[in-house]
Amino acid sequence: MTTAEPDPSAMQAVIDRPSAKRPGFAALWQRWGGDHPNFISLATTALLLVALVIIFTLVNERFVSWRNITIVLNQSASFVILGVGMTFVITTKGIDLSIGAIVALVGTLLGLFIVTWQWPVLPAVLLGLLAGGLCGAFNGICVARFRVPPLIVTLGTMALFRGISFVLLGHQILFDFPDSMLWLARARIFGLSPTIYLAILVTAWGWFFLNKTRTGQAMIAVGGNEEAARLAGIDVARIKFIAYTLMGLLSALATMVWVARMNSVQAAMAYGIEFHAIALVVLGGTSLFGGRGLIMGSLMGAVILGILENGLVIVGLSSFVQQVVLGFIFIAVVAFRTLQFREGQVTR
Amino acid sequence: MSTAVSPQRNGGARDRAPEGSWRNLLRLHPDTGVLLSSLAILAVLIIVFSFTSEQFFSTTVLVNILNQMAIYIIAGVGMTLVMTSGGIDISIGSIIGVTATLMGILLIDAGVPALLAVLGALVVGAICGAFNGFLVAVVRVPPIIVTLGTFTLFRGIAYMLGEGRVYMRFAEPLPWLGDGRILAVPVPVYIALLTVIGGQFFLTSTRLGQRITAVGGNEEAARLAGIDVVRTKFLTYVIMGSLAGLTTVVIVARQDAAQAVMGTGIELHVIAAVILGGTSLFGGRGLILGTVLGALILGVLNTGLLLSGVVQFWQLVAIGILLIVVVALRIAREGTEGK
Amino acid sequence: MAATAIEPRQESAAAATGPVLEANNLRKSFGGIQAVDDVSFTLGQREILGMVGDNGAGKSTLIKIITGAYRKDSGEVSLDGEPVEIESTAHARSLGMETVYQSSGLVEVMDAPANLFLGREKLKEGWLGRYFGMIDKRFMREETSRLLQQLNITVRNLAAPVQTLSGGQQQSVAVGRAAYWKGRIIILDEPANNIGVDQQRAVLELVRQIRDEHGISFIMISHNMEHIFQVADRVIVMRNGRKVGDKPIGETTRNEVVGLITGALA
Repeated sequence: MTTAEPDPSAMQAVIDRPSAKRPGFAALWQRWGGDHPNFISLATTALLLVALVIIFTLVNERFVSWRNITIVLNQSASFVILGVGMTFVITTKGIDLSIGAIVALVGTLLGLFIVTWQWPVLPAVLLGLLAGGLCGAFNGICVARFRVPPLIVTLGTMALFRGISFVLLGHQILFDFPDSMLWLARARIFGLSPTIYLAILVTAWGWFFLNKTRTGQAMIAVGGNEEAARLAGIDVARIKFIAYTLMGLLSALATMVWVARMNSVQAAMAYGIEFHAIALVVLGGTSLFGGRGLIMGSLMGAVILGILENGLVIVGLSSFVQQVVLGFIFIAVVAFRTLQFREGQVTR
Repeated sequence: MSTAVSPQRNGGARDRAPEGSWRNLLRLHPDTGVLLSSLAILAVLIIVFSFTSEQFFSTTVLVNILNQMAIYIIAGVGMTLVMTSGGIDISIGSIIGVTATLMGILLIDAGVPALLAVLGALVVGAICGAFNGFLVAVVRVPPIIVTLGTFTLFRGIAYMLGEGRVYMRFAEPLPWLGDGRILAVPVPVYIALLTVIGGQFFLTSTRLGQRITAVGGNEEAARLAGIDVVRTKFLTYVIMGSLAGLTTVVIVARQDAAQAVMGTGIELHVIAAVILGGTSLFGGRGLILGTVLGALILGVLNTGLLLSGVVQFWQLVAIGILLIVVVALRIAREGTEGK
Repeated sequence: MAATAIEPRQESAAAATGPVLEANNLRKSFGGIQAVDDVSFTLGQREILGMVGDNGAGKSTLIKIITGAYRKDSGEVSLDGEPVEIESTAHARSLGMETVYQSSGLVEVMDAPANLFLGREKLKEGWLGRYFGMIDKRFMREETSRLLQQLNITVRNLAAPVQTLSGGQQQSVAVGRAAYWKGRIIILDEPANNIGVDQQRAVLELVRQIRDEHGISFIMISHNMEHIFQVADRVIVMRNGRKVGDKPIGETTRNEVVGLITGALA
């Protein structure tokens, strides 16, 4: 790490004096990194991932067994899906605290449709997805149309959606879903469950959407500089609305994975998952300050969290200690990313 | 004091206000309108519930509401300060978890006197707040992200300390703080009242309080005027932490028990109370008295729904809707009045 | 010592004649760029000095050196003939240099008294102030009222947030604040930007009034030639980090100044 004073004209100095010694490798790397911040972020995340795998393998060689790898991937699948949606939202400089409540509401509906009322699975799943999309759209309308800060909106809907789940289900636990519902997690295609393929598919689509479509690029613009985006003719409200609606839709999709794995639903399910979803997005290098979204980073972030949870269990730590460790890691990463961001800014 | 110019004292700008109508009264104190709107919501709720439930209008019920809302008011004073500074703290429930566990350990395992345990809760709460404050003010991580992290972290620490135990049956005088009465009014109400008076004085009449408002109102201007923004923000979170500690004392005393899960979900109610009370979401305007009204609105809503025979879970729904609607209306109104 | 509304400056015999601020051979470079290159200038008693130049000509760097935001590479700054080493913005302020920024100088949601005393709140006498940091609101309100009256700024309600005032009034409050705090030199950074035309005139009028009545010197950065020619006594032109012009306003024309700015008249 070079700790020279951030000087905007340092590069100029190099250019001004062609006779000066050619910049060393470190300087070239730094300049190249400045031009490719996304690559640097992704590389550090990947390094972290590899380091974790190595550490846990050294502690216990069972860690890299095929069986354990599939367990980790299976556990991470729903968070990968949530992470794609959260990446959209955070890229627009928003946040969504209500996703745990959306998962609970969609799960509650699925339980009622399929277990209590014995509906066929397909219409129930479609209605569940619709419900998730509507929840997200509600958030989106409040944020985009009524311009209520995302934090307040989703804090409110966190209570609202969770409250509706409790009103519908009380303290009941519904279980015993039909096999067709459980197929997503229980079947095997080339040794992997369909959830993993679903997660990969969603990630690939998310990457394409954010980086290669006009709407995705507009999300980055809105998060980077809302005023500039507006002046450039982007319909800021529409873009934000889309981000939150997609978040709701993807939360519903994650619920399907969740229900298929757990084979049970209750109104209190998925409590606190918003922390995980936000943590993995930040781990992946998406900027907390908007304007930069790394879907692949979020993918790695989700796997890192999955490995951490799995690895800490194998090491033999209680879930309480795990929570403390995760909290510390989250704060360390966030602090690091913030300092990185501030250094990159040309202040004064 | 040397007065060099224009010694006449009257005829100042203050006296040039046009003759009074109620509109000018509102103008004289820009916060009056917001407070009145909170008061109106409260009045409407009270009127509605006195129709839907016969028992609603009784002293017992009203005292109960006040008593139940005491913890939201105490924590709400701290949250008002944090939001006035332009921040937010969603980790307070977890701070309560940590301090409650600590009080249990101190009182039962270590057998220290109640006063020391109370002091311990305040100090440890302040330390938790200082951790938040350091990350927000010095490292400059957005407050929502910091406190989302410590929300998880502190709760984990609470569980680690408590190991699932429930500490119960404390020696007097601690339980008295929870269910004692002075002149038929429960002690927590007095504690809340003192906090409100202190908070109101602090925010409106002290230097640090004014600086918190200035930092929340326009951080850049505050910095240019020589205000130490980092210190101001840091102290705000420390105060929030110690008030979360005080909230813990009341909760523990009232339940005569302490465990790590205490305080779960309280942040929603506290933030809702502050926002319903009219404190600005964007910083720069904090209304301690509004927060009291906001907490009363929540209390009346809870109790009223309960007495009207509505399933308890609807309260969560009602709070969520009320929060979003009120904020949307306020933003719409401020939006049309220009920035 | 209690601050009261603006007092006329006591002028000692020595200071009455010499320049209040003198800068000699200031240099400042960032990396390879010479942002300020050997600039010298003086600011006289009761003088309004205009400073013009294109973006990046070195005006703000020069001002930031004077107000302690940047450290100079070399050169000398003197106040009243005494060489001083300005270490920080706070130090500059304690030496009597106040800066008025084109925006964000006021906390819009707070009232005028709170803004006038922003960061320098007056504490109550006695234990309430000493131990509880209680501020003396009454004093602050009376002082503000008097200051505004003195400056002919009409504010309907002192308790209203300053965002309810017009842009010109807000800027006047900011200028008034600088004068109130005994600024002997007030630096105005684009004082009349972003406000209505008639209000611009009022702010400039206020600058002249404060100079006339209270003997304060001003440095005024502006892009607006009209403003410079309306109030300034002298104008300095910056170009590429150098001072390329320094003329009494009576001895130059708009065209000449514009020519110096663009380099058409080198």
